[in-house]
Amino acid sequence: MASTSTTATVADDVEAEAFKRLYPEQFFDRFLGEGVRPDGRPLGRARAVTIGAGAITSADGSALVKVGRTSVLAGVRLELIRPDETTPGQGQLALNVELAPFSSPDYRPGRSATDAVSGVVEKLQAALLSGKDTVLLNTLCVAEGKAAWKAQLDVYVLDADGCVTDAVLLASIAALRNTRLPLVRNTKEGNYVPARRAEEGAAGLVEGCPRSVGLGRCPLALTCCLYKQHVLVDPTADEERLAECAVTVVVDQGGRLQGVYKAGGKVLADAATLLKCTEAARLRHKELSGLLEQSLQMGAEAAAER
Amino acid sequence: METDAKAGPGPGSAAARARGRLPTQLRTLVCERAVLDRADGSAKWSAEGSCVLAAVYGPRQARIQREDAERAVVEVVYKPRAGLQGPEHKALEAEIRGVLEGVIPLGLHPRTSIMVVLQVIQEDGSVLACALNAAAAALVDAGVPLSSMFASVSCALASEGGLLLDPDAAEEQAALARFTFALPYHFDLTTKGAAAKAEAAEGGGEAVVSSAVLGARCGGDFSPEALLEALALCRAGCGRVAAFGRLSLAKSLQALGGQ
Repeated sequence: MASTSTTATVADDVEAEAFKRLYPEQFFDRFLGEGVRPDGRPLGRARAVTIGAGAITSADGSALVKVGRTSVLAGVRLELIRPDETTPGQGQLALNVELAPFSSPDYRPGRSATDAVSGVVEKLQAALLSGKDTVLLNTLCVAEGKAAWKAQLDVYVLDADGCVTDAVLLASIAALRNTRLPLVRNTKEGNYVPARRAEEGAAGLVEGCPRSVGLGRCPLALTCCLYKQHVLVDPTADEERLAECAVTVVVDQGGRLQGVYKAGGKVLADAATLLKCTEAARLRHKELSGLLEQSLQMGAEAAAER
Repeated sequence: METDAKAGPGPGSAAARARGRLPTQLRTLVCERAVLDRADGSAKWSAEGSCVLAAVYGPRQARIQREDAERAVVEVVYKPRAGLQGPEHKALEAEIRGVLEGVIPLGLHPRTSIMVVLQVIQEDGSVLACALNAAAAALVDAGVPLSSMFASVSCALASEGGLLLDPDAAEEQAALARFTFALPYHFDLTTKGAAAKAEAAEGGGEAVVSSAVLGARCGGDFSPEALLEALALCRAGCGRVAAFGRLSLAKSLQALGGQ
């Protein structure tokens, strides 16, 4: 008796999987008709997020972020440089986003892999560096015209299950907030070098050198998919592929918009839909910033123990 | 072939713009069609300082790796005015491809590819809008079926708080936020009287611009209210671009008929 019921459920599973493969739209519509999505979420609910600030101990700042199954790892590496002559009072921030080969079934090696994340890089660049007040580059300056920090922010997308931009931006912000800038020592020869821990309080330390990366604003993104008349908040990769129409909104802590992107697609977004997306992004920002603070605090405590 | 789009009332400061342009005034548009011999369709779209040349190839046999058994694939190549393609250009390509996929009925041409090559010739602000309009004109020239026409216009939120339509590079640089919208439009020839029809046949007539957005690309620092205002202003601008596009098409068809 037991064996027959097992075979029945297996057959049902196979049938559901086959139905999903053969008729993805009908499969999806059946769920949406009931007001839920295939993973059990209502249409307006975003996925659960975990933020692990300080995930890599060897990095100067890092964060591992999971949004549902989408996983992104961001790390910051610091380097003392002589500032650029055109901007003597500023440090530098270099961004790099990479897609791991195992992150997505659509991954193709070679140039197309970098093309796939070019949109993400561009949005990250716009969110962090286009405004003068997001990443405050002057807080990376140690001695004007002589020494400044160059922060190399590398982001690795480990699992791309939808909303990669949102996760990448969240991980980047978390990693930058998690970064502790070491003290800097001015040697007898006049060179600036990072001070090791034992040397703290020793002679030759540069006075008032920065300890953290200054962030004037905290931009976070939320992507919504438009599918027929529905707005799906925080879609998975399957939903993104099916809807072919996404609106990404970047907001800061004050609810000001920093970016609204809609890359064409089959569905048009009227003003009401755009407002709905921005409102959802604001709510999501509130939710995420709480988690972010919590995680950063835990990361700082863990770092203090080491 | 030139039309000078006159300004209507709208938001924006009375700050002097280059060449005494009003805040809601577009730059002079020029569109040349069928400029390339070897392409299936081509168009050159310019708005004074900005100019983009678009070529359309296809629908033609798709490369095996790209081929889709159920629909056509759209490929977009965006060539910057100078230098190599960077990630921002790749992102623009994706943006333009999305907009084109929204208006081309892809199911009509399975297993084919439609390639749109955009070469920026001059760059002086609102380049994305210019590229989108060039692509639209080239698609029409190539005779690719479209489910709807679309027009694109940029605007910028000036630091004094007013919106400036169709900004040039200096205005974009100084702006707090930059907006580009692509909106679908059509001409309503059914409800109007015979007089209106006759007028429309001569290339006049009012474009009905959708209030819903096909593509949007906005960045900077702005409030949701500013976003909606920008959308309304761009919508008005798109109406004028649409009217110009129709006029230019009618004129080029007339020129062909006269030969």
